[in-house]
Amino acid sequence: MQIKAEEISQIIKGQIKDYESKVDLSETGTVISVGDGIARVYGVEKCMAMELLEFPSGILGIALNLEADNVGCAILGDVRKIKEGDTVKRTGRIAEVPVGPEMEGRVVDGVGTPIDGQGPLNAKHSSKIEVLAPGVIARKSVHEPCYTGAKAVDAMTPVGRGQRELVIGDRQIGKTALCVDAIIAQKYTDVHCVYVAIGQKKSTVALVVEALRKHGAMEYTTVVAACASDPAPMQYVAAFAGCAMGEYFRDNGQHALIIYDDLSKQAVSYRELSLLLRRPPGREAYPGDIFFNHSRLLERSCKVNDALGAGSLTALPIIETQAGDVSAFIPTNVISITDGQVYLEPNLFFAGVRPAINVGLSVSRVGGAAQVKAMKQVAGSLRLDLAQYRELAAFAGFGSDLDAATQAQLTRGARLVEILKQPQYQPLPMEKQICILFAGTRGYLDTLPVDSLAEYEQQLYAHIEKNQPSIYDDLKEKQAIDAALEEKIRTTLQAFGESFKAAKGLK
Amino acid sequence: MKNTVIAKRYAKALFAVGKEGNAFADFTKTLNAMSELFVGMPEVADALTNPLYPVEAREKVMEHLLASMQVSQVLGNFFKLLVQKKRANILPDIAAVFQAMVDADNNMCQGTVVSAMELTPELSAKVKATLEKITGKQVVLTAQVDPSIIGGIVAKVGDLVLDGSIKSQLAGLKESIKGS
Repeated sequence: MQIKAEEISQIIKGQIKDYESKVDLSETGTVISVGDGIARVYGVEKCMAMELLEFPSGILGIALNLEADNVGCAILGDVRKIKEGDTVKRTGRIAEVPVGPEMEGRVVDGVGTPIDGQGPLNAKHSSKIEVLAPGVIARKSVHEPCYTGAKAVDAMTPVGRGQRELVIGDRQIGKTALCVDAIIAQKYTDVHCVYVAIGQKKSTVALVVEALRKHGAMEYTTVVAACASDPAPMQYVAAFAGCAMGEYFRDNGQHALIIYDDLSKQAVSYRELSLLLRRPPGREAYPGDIFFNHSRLLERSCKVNDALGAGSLTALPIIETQAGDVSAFIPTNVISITDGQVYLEPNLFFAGVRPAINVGLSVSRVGGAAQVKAMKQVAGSLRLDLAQYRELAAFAGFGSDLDAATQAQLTRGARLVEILKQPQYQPLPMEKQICILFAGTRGYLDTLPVDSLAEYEQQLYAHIEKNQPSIYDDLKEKQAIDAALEEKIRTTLQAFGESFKAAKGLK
Repeated sequence: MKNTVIAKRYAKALFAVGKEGNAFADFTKTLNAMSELFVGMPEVADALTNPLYPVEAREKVMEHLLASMQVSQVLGNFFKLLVQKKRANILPDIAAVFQAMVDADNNMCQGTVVSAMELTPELSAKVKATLEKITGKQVVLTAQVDPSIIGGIVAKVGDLVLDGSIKSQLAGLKESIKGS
């Protein structure tokens, strides 16, 4: 492309023409001290809490502490460019981020600036990062499921739209994987996703974005990335910024799913910020309002009532524990705020049970209200069966003679554990989950060897799709298993079981 | 402006004394002179604040200084107290806070106006009138000349800055071209 000098001068001329010269009236202050991402500013007397302040060279800061003779301010940008004695301007704006459908498919930083190199956002709306959560009247009980695509979660700790379900566990046991799968599972639904990465390595975030893109999930996902190298204030603010983006969908009658990965890092950055602002430390040196920090954030995820459009914001916060210690300060706090937790366990993970969900310690306080009838029908006894299996398996380890009933329970349990395993990036839709769970809980797998079940599952889906696609359609449509449908599933499973055994050379 | 809390305490005490004796004008003048001396001549500040010298020696320096400046009894005591309490280093802060207190008491405020060229008396009167209208207080204007702002004026009253300089308008123009 040839650039004509004439055109450039034309453009510049147009811009100069529009530029109005006006006297700039501003309220200012002076930087008293700066360092560690914090500046103390003298002056700016009328400054509001959470107001954005502008430092020279356009760096913004958020006023967090309003004191008698100075303002404590968290700097959202490069601290090194700010010196003592610099002039600070009030902007009169409370901290806000761009929101709206234009944000989907983009990667932004903690304050909503794009960092994916795809040009400006062109977002039409912006929203304050700190807003009050909807009140009691504005809400409605959670009643529709938000499928995560993981069989173990959808069957036993179901997540409803508007629910907050904590994902908790040690490092490196698939917390992020579970949540990324939950985003991919929203592909053919009307749920918009926000993934907030707090304090993670840039390489990890890049991998997640790449995975989402590969599975076509980036189209409906916004990634808010405040990485480990970003200043603590950015990491603290990113969670609220992501929440504001999700809220846009909730308040417009749509559905959104937000993942905070992870809130323990956010707590750590808030602790850093608070200590630098000289707020008194409490337990584990966290500030006194660390509970409020998380509760006000998670309280914004909810299901709003029909008058307000019946939108929802579902949250999957992640908490990383240290050596399985769930009784530490932050884990107990967040457990008490959320509507249940999915507990991932290293022992299970290394035993090959992936996702490594500990069924006994995982709960959903919303429970059956977030499941369709069909799921309740097949998964109702699952939790109990597995609990009994675990108990018996511990005893059976002693190797004594077992009666037939115990044997049967052990066989059933081992197969149920096996079918709850699921590879990464393969979330399943509800109807497929129901088919395999039906086969498991109704005993169609008891005669098959445990190690052939993964293959069985894959072939079963293909078989139903090819021979009895009406099963899937009926499940999707009725969302319940009536007598006729049950009969149809039973005959299909019977026929497929026999052909599978024959192909495998089993009796 | 680091020790504003302490400076406020001292200034408040001095303000109370000054109010009884109605000696604000004298106090401000001397305080400002003293703080200018502090800022302008670091040796003086050093002699009064450096902990390497014994307190008695520093007090002596202050006494000589006060004698040469012919400071009133009350203010002299105040300065001596500062040296004794090892607070001489915040003298400029105290001067600034005291000035602000006196101004607030008189419903006045200090303003500066920066221009590229010397302002004519009519112009500066106009600026003063405008600033008084905005703040609702009497403004004491200090004029400064700074050719680097190219043209126009920059007026400052307290935290409020009215920037109508060519320099900042050029910067704004640059941003608007860069931004779109």
